[in-house]
Amino acid sequence: MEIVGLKVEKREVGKSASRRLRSVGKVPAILYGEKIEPLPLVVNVRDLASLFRKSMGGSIIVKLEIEGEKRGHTVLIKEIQRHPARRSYVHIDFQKIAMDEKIHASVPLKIVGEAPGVKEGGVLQHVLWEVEAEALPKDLPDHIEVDVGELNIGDTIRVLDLPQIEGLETLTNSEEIVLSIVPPTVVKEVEEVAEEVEEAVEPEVIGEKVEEEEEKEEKEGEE
Amino acid sequence: MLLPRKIKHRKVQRGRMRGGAKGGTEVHFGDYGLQALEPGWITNRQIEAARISMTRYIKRGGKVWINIFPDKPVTKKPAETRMGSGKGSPEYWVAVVRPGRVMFELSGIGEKVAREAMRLATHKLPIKTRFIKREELGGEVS
Repeated sequence: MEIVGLKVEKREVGKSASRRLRSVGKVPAILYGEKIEPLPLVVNVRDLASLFRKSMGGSIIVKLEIEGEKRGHTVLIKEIQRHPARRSYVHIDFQKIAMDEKIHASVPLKIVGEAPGVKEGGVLQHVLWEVEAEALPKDLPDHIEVDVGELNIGDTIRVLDLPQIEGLETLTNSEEIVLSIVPPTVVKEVEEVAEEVEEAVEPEVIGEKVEEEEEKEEKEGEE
Repeated sequence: MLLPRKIKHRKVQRGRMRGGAKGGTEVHFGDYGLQALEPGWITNRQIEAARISMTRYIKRGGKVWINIFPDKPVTKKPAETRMGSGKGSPEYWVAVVRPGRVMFELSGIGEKVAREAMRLATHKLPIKTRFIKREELGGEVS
Protein backbone atom coordinates (compact mmCIF):
# COMPACT_ATOMS: atom_id res chain seq x y z
CA MET A 1 0.00 0.00 0.00
CA GLU A 2 1.19 3.43 -0.95
CA ILE A 3 2.17 5.95 1.73
CA VAL A 4 1.26 9.54 0.89
CA GLY A 5 2.17 12.67 2.83
CA LEU A 6 -0.45 15.21 3.96
CA LYS A 7 0.10 18.57 5.63
CA VAL A 8 -2.30 19.40 8.47
CA GLU A 9 -2.64 22.06 11.16
CA LYS A 10 -4.04 22.04 14.67
CA ARG A 11 -7.44 23.71 15.09
CA GLU A 12 -9.78 25.01 17.75
CA VAL A 13 -12.82 22.88 18.44
CA GLY A 14 -16.45 23.90 18.19
CA LYS A 15 -19.36 24.13 15.79
CA SER A 16 -18.90 27.74 14.73
CA ALA A 17 -15.09 27.44 14.46
CA SER A 18 -15.54 24.39 12.20
CA ARG A 19 -18.06 26.24 10.04
CA ARG A 20 -15.64 29.15 9.65
CA LEU A 21 -12.95 26.72 8.52
CA ARG A 22 -15.24 25.07 5.96
CA SER A 23 -16.17 28.47 4.53
CA VAL A 24 -12.51 29.16 3.68
CA GLY A 25 -11.88 25.82 1.95
CA LYS A 26 -10.64 23.82 4.90
CA VAL A 27 -11.94 20.58 6.35
CA PRO A 28 -11.98 19.79 10.09
CA ALA A 29 -10.44 16.45 10.99
CA ILE A 30 -9.50 14.43 14.05
CA LEU A 31 -6.56 12.18 14.78
CA TYR A 32 -7.01 9.37 17.28
CA GLY A 33 -5.36 6.12 18.15
CA GLU A 34 -4.58 3.62 20.86
CA LYS A 35 -1.85 5.47 22.71
CA ILE A 36 -2.58 9.10 21.90
CA GLU A 37 -5.05 11.73 23.01
CA PRO A 38 -7.50 12.75 20.27
CA LEU A 39 -6.09 15.73 18.39
CA PRO A 40 -8.39 18.09 16.39
CA LEU A 41 -6.81 19.01 13.06
CA VAL A 42 -7.62 20.91 9.91
CA VAL A 43 -6.81 19.91 6.31
CA ASN A 44 -6.81 21.99 3.17
CA VAL A 45 -9.54 20.73 0.84
CA ARG A 46 -7.21 20.93 -2.18
CA ASP A 47 -4.58 18.74 -0.47
CA LEU A 48 -7.34 16.29 0.40
CA ALA A 49 -8.63 16.15 -3.18
CA SER A 50 -5.14 15.52 -4.54
CA LEU A 51 -4.64 12.80 -1.91
CA PHE A 52 -7.78 11.00 -3.09
CA ARG A 53 -6.69 11.37 -6.72
CA LYS A 54 -3.41 9.67 -5.84
CA SER A 55 -5.26 6.84 -4.11
CA MET A 56 -7.06 5.99 -7.40
CA GLY A 57 -10.07 4.70 -5.50
CA GLY A 58 -8.05 2.30 -3.33
CA SER A 59 -7.24 2.62 0.34
CA ILE A 60 -4.06 4.42 1.37
CA ILE A 61 -1.82 5.00 4.34
CA VAL A 62 -1.22 8.67 5.07
CA LYS A 63 1.81 10.26 6.69
CA LEU A 64 0.44 13.27 8.56
CA GLU A 65 2.80 16.21 8.93
CA ILE A 66 1.42 18.46 11.66
CA GLU A 67 2.58 22.07 11.43
CA GLY A 68 4.89 22.93 14.28
CA GLU A 69 5.59 19.30 15.17
CA LYS A 70 8.68 17.44 14.06
CA ARG A 71 7.29 13.92 14.39
CA GLY A 72 4.79 12.75 11.80
CA HIS A 73 1.95 10.29 12.32
CA THR A 74 1.21 7.27 10.17
CA VAL A 75 -2.55 7.05 9.84
CA LEU A 76 -5.41 5.34 8.05
CA ILE A 77 -8.40 7.32 6.80
CA LYS A 78 -11.13 5.81 8.95
CA GLU A 79 -14.13 7.90 7.91
CA ILE A 80 -14.98 10.60 5.42
CA GLN A 81 -18.11 12.60 6.16
CA ARG A 82 -19.60 14.44 3.20
CA HIS A 83 -22.54 16.79 2.82
CA PRO A 84 -25.51 14.70 1.65
CA ALA A 85 -26.43 16.90 -1.29
CA ARG A 86 -23.47 19.20 -1.97
CA ARG A 87 -20.92 16.33 -1.66
CA SER A 88 -18.41 18.70 -0.02
CA TYR A 89 -16.18 17.27 2.71
CA VAL A 90 -17.51 17.88 6.21
CA HIS A 91 -15.10 15.96 8.44
CA ILE A 92 -12.28 13.41 8.22
CA ASP A 93 -11.25 10.78 10.79
CA PHE A 94 -7.61 9.70 10.90
CA GLN A 95 -6.65 6.64 12.92
CA LYS A 96 -3.05 6.34 14.04
CA ILE A 97 -1.45 3.01 13.25
CA ALA A 98 1.84 1.35 14.15
CA MET A 99 3.78 -0.05 11.20
CA ASP A 100 4.76 -3.16 13.20
CA GLU A 101 1.25 -4.03 14.39
CA LYS A 102 -1.49 -5.75 12.46
CA ILE A 103 -4.46 -3.56 11.57
CA HIS A 104 -8.03 -4.18 10.50
CA ALA A 105 -8.96 -2.42 7.28
CA SER A 106 -11.45 -2.75 4.47
CA VAL A 107 -9.81 -3.48 1.13
CA PRO A 108 -11.76 -2.52 -2.01
CA LEU A 109 -12.32 -5.13 -4.74
CA LYS A 110 -11.74 -4.24 -8.39
CA ILE A 111 -13.11 -6.21 -11.31
CA VAL A 112 -10.69 -7.02 -14.12
CA GLY A 113 -11.41 -8.66 -17.44
CA GLU A 114 -14.64 -9.18 -19.32
CA ALA A 115 -16.86 -12.13 -18.50
CA PRO A 116 -18.02 -14.35 -21.41
CA GLY A 117 -21.36 -14.61 -19.57
CA VAL A 118 -21.88 -10.86 -19.90
CA LYS A 119 -21.14 -11.02 -23.65
CA GLU A 120 -23.86 -13.68 -23.94
CA GLY A 121 -26.34 -11.28 -22.36
CA GLY A 122 -25.95 -12.05 -18.65
CA VAL A 123 -25.78 -9.36 -16.00
CA LEU A 124 -22.83 -9.01 -13.66
CA GLN A 125 -24.18 -8.54 -10.16
CA HIS A 126 -21.56 -7.09 -7.88
CA VAL A 127 -22.64 -7.80 -4.31
CA LEU A 128 -19.56 -7.26 -2.17
CA TRP A 129 -17.46 -4.19 -2.92
CA GLU A 130 -14.85 -4.51 -0.19
CA VAL A 131 -13.59 -7.12 2.24
CA GLU A 132 -12.51 -6.76 5.83
CA ALA A 133 -8.91 -7.85 6.27
CA GLU A 134 -6.14 -7.96 8.82
CA ALA A 135 -2.51 -7.37 7.95
CA LEU A 136 0.59 -5.38 8.73
CA PRO A 137 0.29 -1.93 7.13
CA LYS A 138 3.10 -2.74 4.69
CA ASP A 139 1.29 -5.90 3.51
CA LEU A 140 -2.09 -4.22 3.07
CA PRO A 141 -2.91 -3.90 -0.66
CA ASP A 142 -4.68 -0.79 -1.95
CA HIS A 143 -7.15 -3.09 -3.72
CA ILE A 144 -7.72 -6.76 -4.60
CA GLU A 145 -8.28 -7.66 -8.25
CA VAL A 146 -11.16 -9.98 -9.07
CA ASP A 147 -10.72 -11.68 -12.45
CA VAL A 148 -14.04 -12.36 -14.16
CA GLY A 149 -12.46 -13.48 -17.45
CA GLU A 150 -13.80 -17.05 -17.21
CA LEU A 151 -17.25 -16.53 -15.75
CA ASN A 152 -20.33 -17.77 -17.58
CA ILE A 153 -24.00 -17.21 -16.79
CA GLY A 154 -24.79 -18.76 -13.41
CA ASP A 155 -21.21 -18.62 -12.12
CA THR A 156 -20.34 -16.90 -8.86
CA ILE A 157 -17.20 -15.79 -7.10
CA ARG A 158 -17.09 -16.13 -3.32
CA VAL A 159 -14.66 -14.57 -0.85
CA LEU A 160 -12.71 -17.85 -0.71
CA ASP A 161 -12.15 -17.63 -4.50
CA LEU A 162 -10.34 -14.29 -4.18
CA PRO A 163 -6.60 -14.32 -4.90
CA GLN A 164 -4.50 -15.05 -1.82
CA ILE A 165 -2.17 -12.23 -0.83
CA GLU A 166 0.80 -12.96 1.39
CA GLY A 167 0.44 -11.59 4.89
CA LEU A 168 -3.21 -10.68 4.39
CA GLU A 169 -5.89 -12.47 6.39
CA THR A 170 -9.44 -11.97 5.17
CA LEU A 171 -11.96 -11.56 7.99
CA THR A 172 -15.11 -11.48 5.88
CA ASN A 173 -17.08 -14.75 5.82
CA SER A 174 -15.43 -16.93 3.15
CA GLU A 175 -18.83 -18.17 1.89
CA GLU A 176 -20.07 -14.66 1.11
CA ILE A 177 -20.74 -13.99 -2.58
CA VAL A 178 -18.60 -11.30 -4.17
CA LEU A 179 -20.25 -11.28 -7.58
CA SER A 180 -22.31 -13.45 -9.84
CA ILE A 181 -23.40 -13.52 -13.47
CA VAL A 182 -27.18 -13.79 -13.57
CA PRO A 183 -29.46 -14.37 -16.57
CA PRO A 184 -30.94 -11.16 -18.01
CA THR A 185 -34.29 -9.98 -16.67
CA VAL A 186 -37.04 -9.73 -19.25
CA VAL A 187 -39.59 -6.95 -18.87
CA LYS A 188 -43.06 -8.48 -18.51
CA GLU A 189 -45.85 -6.11 -19.51
CA VAL A 190 -48.53 -8.54 -18.26
CA GLU A 191 -47.48 -8.04 -14.64
CA GLU A 192 -48.43 -4.37 -14.72
CA VAL A 193 -52.10 -5.15 -15.37
CA ALA A 194 -52.17 -7.47 -12.39
CA GLU A 195 -50.61 -4.77 -10.20
CA GLU A 196 -53.33 -2.26 -11.12
CA VAL A 197 -55.96 -4.53 -9.55
CA GLU A 198 -54.06 -4.65 -6.25
CA GLU A 199 -54.18 -0.87 -5.99
CA ALA A 200 -57.66 -0.67 -4.47
CA VAL A 201 -56.71 -2.86 -1.49
CA GLU A 202 -56.12 -0.84 1.66
CA PRO A 203 -53.45 -2.08 4.09
CA GLU A 204 -54.48 -3.73 7.30
CA VAL A 205 -54.29 -1.50 10.40
CA ILE A 206 -52.37 -3.18 13.21
CA GLY A 207 -54.45 -3.40 16.41
CA GLU A 208 -57.80 -2.74 14.78
CA LYS A 209 -58.55 -6.43 14.25
CA VAL A 210 -57.62 -7.24 17.83
CA GLU A 211 -59.98 -4.54 19.15
CA GLU A 212 -62.84 -5.85 17.02
CA GLU A 213 -62.28 -9.37 18.34
CA GLU A 214 -62.20 -8.10 21.94
CA GLU A 215 -65.51 -6.25 21.42
CA LYS A 216 -67.06 -9.41 20.03
CA GLU A 217 -65.86 -11.42 23.01
CA GLU A 218 -67.26 -8.81 25.44
CA LYS A 219 -70.65 -8.91 23.73
CA GLU A 220 -70.69 -12.70 23.85
CA GLY A 221 -69.78 -12.56 27.57
CA GLU A 222 -72.69 -10.18 28.31
CA GLU A 223 -75.14 -12.47 26.58
CA MET B 1 -47.56 -0.29 -7.18
CA LEU B 2 -45.76 0.04 -3.84
CA LEU B 3 -47.76 0.39 -0.62
CA PRO B 4 -47.40 -0.96 2.93
CA ARG B 5 -48.87 -4.34 3.83
CA LYS B 6 -49.67 -3.41 7.42
CA ILE B 7 -49.92 0.01 9.05
CA LYS B 8 -50.30 1.31 12.60
CA HIS B 9 -52.40 4.37 11.75
CA ARG B 10 -54.65 4.99 8.75
CA LYS B 11 -54.02 8.73 8.75
CA VAL B 12 -50.88 10.62 9.77
CA GLN B 13 -49.94 14.29 10.08
CA ARG B 14 -48.11 15.94 7.20
CA GLY B 15 -44.88 16.84 8.99
CA ARG B 16 -42.02 19.07 7.85
CA MET B 17 -39.15 18.34 5.49
CA ARG B 18 -36.26 20.31 6.95
CA GLY B 19 -32.59 19.54 6.37
CA GLY B 20 -30.89 16.87 4.34
CA ALA B 21 -31.20 13.11 4.13
CA LYS B 22 -29.95 11.32 7.25
CA GLY B 23 -28.89 8.19 5.40
CA GLY B 24 -29.00 6.53 2.02
CA THR B 25 -26.91 9.26 0.45
CA GLU B 26 -24.46 6.95 -1.30
CA VAL B 27 -24.77 4.40 -4.08
CA HIS B 28 -24.81 1.09 -2.19
CA PHE B 29 -26.14 -1.63 -4.45
CA GLY B 30 -25.58 -0.66 -8.08
CA ASP B 31 -23.06 1.36 -10.08
CA TYR B 32 -25.16 4.47 -10.71
CA GLY B 33 -27.74 6.35 -8.70
CA LEU B 34 -30.33 9.08 -8.95
CA GLN B 35 -29.95 11.54 -6.07
CA ALA B 36 -32.61 13.98 -4.89
CA LEU B 37 -31.52 17.64 -4.70
CA GLU B 38 -34.74 18.98 -3.21
CA PRO B 39 -37.12 17.80 -0.51
CA GLY B 40 -40.43 16.39 -1.65
CA TRP B 41 -43.14 13.77 -1.49
CA ILE B 42 -42.75 11.07 -4.14
CA THR B 43 -45.99 9.20 -4.71
CA ASN B 44 -46.12 5.49 -5.39
CA ARG B 45 -47.42 6.26 -8.88
CA GLN B 46 -44.37 8.45 -9.58
CA ILE B 47 -42.01 5.74 -8.30
CA GLU B 48 -43.73 3.18 -10.51
CA ALA B 49 -43.64 5.48 -13.55
CA ALA B 50 -39.92 6.12 -13.01
CA ARG B 51 -39.22 2.41 -12.61
CA ILE B 52 -41.13 1.53 -15.78
CA SER B 53 -39.37 4.22 -17.82
CA MET B 54 -35.99 2.93 -16.66
CA THR B 55 -36.67 -0.78 -17.22
CA ARG B 56 -38.19 -0.09 -20.64
CA TYR B 57 -35.17 1.93 -21.71
CA ILE B 58 -32.58 -0.58 -20.54
CA LYS B 59 -34.75 -3.33 -22.10
CA ARG B 60 -32.86 -6.44 -21.06
CA GLY B 61 -29.93 -6.78 -18.75
CA GLY B 62 -29.23 -4.43 -15.94
CA LYS B 63 -30.86 -4.26 -12.52
CA VAL B 64 -32.91 -1.51 -10.93
CA TRP B 65 -33.05 -0.84 -7.19
CA ILE B 66 -35.69 1.36 -5.60
CA ASN B 67 -34.32 2.72 -2.34
CA ILE B 68 -37.39 4.64 -1.22
CA PHE B 69 -40.72 3.27 -0.03
CA PRO B 70 -44.04 5.14 0.06
CA ASP B 71 -45.07 4.50 3.67
CA LYS B 72 -46.88 7.78 4.40
CA PRO B 73 -50.61 7.99 3.66
CA VAL B 74 -51.93 11.26 2.21
CA THR B 75 -55.57 12.12 2.83
CA LYS B 76 -57.86 14.23 0.70
CA LYS B 77 -61.32 15.68 1.20
CA PRO B 78 -63.80 15.02 -1.61
CA ALA B 79 -64.43 17.83 -4.14
CA GLU B 80 -67.03 20.49 -3.27
CA THR B 81 -67.15 19.56 0.39
CA ARG B 82 -67.52 22.17 3.13
CA MET B 83 -64.61 22.53 5.53
CA GLY B 84 -64.72 20.71 8.86
CA SER B 85 -66.25 17.36 9.78
CA GLY B 86 -62.91 15.67 10.24
CA LYS B 87 -59.92 14.64 8.21
CA GLY B 88 -60.41 13.33 4.67
CA SER B 89 -59.94 9.74 3.61
CA PRO B 90 -56.54 8.27 2.60
CA GLU B 91 -56.02 8.89 -1.10
CA TYR B 92 -52.48 7.79 -1.97
CA TRP B 93 -49.08 6.90 -0.53
CA VAL B 94 -45.88 8.93 -0.58
CA ALA B 95 -42.21 8.54 0.29
CA VAL B 96 -40.69 11.53 2.09
CA VAL B 97 -37.44 12.42 0.32
CA ARG B 98 -34.90 14.92 1.57
CA PRO B 99 -31.94 16.40 -0.39
CA GLY B 100 -29.12 13.91 -0.85
CA ARG B 101 -31.25 10.77 -0.84
CA VAL B 102 -30.31 8.20 -3.51
CA MET B 103 -33.75 7.10 -4.75
CA PHE B 104 -32.90 4.70 -7.57
CA GLU B 105 -29.84 2.66 -8.43
CA LEU B 106 -28.82 0.87 -11.61
CA SER B 107 -26.19 -1.71 -12.44
CA GLY B 108 -25.15 -4.05 -15.21
CA ILE B 109 -25.31 -1.40 -17.95
CA GLY B 110 -22.98 1.22 -19.42
CA GLU B 111 -22.84 4.77 -18.12
CA LYS B 112 -24.41 6.27 -21.24
CA VAL B 113 -27.45 3.99 -21.03
CA ALA B 114 -27.72 4.56 -17.27
CA ARG B 115 -27.64 8.35 -17.72
CA GLU B 116 -30.40 8.27 -20.31
CA ALA B 117 -32.52 5.87 -18.23
CA MET B 118 -32.15 8.14 -15.19
CA ARG B 119 -32.97 11.21 -17.30
CA LEU B 120 -36.21 9.58 -18.41
CA ALA B 121 -36.99 8.62 -14.80
CA THR B 122 -36.31 12.19 -13.61
CA HIS B 123 -39.11 13.46 -15.85
CA LYS B 124 -41.54 11.37 -13.81
CA LEU B 125 -40.46 12.91 -10.50
CA PRO B 126 -41.55 16.22 -8.91
CA ILE B 127 -38.07 17.23 -7.70
CA LYS B 128 -34.65 18.17 -9.08
CA THR B 129 -32.23 15.26 -9.19
CA ARG B 130 -28.64 14.45 -10.02
CA PHE B 131 -27.01 11.42 -11.66
CA ILE B 132 -24.24 9.99 -9.50
CA LYS B 133 -21.75 7.16 -9.70
CA ARG B 134 -20.54 4.75 -7.05
CA GLU B 135 -17.90 6.32 -4.86
CA GLU B 136 -14.71 4.92 -3.51
CA LEU B 137 -12.41 6.57 -1.00
CA GLY B 138 -13.21 10.27 -1.15
CA GLY B 139 -14.38 10.61 -4.73
CA GLU B 140 -16.20 9.04 -7.61
CA VAL B 141 -14.92 5.96 -9.37
CA SER B 142 -12.76 6.97 -12.32
